[in-house]
Amino acid sequence: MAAAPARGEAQHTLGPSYQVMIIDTKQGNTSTLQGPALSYVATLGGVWGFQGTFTAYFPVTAYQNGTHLTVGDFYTSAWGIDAVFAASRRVCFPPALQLDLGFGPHLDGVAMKGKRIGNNNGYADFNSFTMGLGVSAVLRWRVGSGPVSLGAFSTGAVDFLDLLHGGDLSVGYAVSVGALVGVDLQ
Amino acid sequence: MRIRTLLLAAGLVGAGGLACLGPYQIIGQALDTTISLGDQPTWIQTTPEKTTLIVFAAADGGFTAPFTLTTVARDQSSMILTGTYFFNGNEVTLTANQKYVWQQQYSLPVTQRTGTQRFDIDAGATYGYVRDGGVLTLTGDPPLGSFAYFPEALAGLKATTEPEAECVLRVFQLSVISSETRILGFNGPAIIQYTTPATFNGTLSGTLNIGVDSLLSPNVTITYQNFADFSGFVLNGTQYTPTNLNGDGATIRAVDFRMTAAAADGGAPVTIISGQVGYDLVLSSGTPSGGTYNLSTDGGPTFPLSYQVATVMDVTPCVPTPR
Repeated sequence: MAAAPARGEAQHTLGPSYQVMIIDTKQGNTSTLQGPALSYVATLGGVWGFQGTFTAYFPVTAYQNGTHLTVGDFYTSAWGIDAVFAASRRVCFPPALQLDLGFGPHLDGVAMKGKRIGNNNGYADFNSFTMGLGVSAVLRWRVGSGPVSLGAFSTGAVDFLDLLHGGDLSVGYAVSVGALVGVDLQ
Repeated sequence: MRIRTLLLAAGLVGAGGLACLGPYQIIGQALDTTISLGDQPTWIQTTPEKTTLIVFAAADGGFTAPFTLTTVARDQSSMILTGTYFFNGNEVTLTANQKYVWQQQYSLPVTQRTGTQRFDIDAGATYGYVRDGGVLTLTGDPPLGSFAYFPEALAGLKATTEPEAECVLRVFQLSVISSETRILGFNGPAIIQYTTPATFNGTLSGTLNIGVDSLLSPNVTITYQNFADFSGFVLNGTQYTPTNLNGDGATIRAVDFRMTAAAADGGAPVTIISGQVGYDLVLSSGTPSGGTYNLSTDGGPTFPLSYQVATVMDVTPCVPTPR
């Protein structure tokens, strides 16, 4: 294993992923959301640089205090965004593997609009906008001589602040994993 | 007075960034779990510090039956317990499974208020039960005390003088506060979820519909249709609260009320009092700060009552109950 010069000044990758978000509240509730997502990972710079991981996700299943719920049964729309803005360190494994590790601020926002069913049957909205610190890891494999690469990534984060429910967040956790395909730009 | 108007969103986006929306919601939380019980016996206990109302629904052939216990404090803060009860000899056991709480937080900016919350609970208590004519006494540790049968306690309600009208307004507010205490997020920033309107059942009958125009125009409309939480006291009408993002604005329009009691001969219900409360209130930061409630009774005069009348929820002058 050895550090190596950047293969590209900017690497842009996109791919399907899966997102899990856990929110523990001071009122003693635990809300877990998970669902498919689409992620974009940009790595800029050389051995040291910047790595941004941006995920748009769509919760389809949830657990509220351990009870399983199908999101579509209760909400007309459900989506979230997740981002890690990381300072990154690149490590290369010749001839074609590259690992970027990052650490930095994390943001996550969720908005789910409660259904209204019939005359008096509906559900409350659910939303959050948490902030904390996250880590990211991106493993890329260059196809042939490039510029196309395939990869996989994972992010993890711990959140301490919620801009919507500031006084009620105990701690939040966010995890993303996914596959990537992208290009290197010189 | 309380018109805990809503507010809002007061600056969902403002100089300080995003506004607080109060405590987290529960995923999959139903807005309304109330199933109207039909006209059921209601009992009331009044003290200068708080008013307590109990609805014991008929068992309807089963072993247990629903009850609600509503408490409205002098400062308007309110709590509702709902669940089931059953009799065992001279004792009654209450098992509560839901608790609604609304805290009067007018001293806080709207964005920092909690708003109405509902909790799932599992709490029970057994009381000695004595019913003597129109008086219900619940003894235990601590005792709940004596309650008067609601229609009888309100039988003398009238509004021929301003002090009487003030008390009638407070009695009217008991139903309004009770209804608002079941609107999740009410008087807090989570009210914005009603940009998609929602309907709530009355404990006994009718409905309440709440809607917010939009995030940037957080005008709140509450419409009552034959709404009753307590036996015989029915609301119809609309309360409209147009405000800006800071919660500054007004509450206008009117809600009719009618109190009826069963006729002694078993005929059609007899009207004890009926009339209208017109709203002409000024709101600052989601809190009533001026204006009047215009209370009129059918065939009687109209009394413009200061917004401050409803800030003190003491109905003992017109609804005496046994101690």
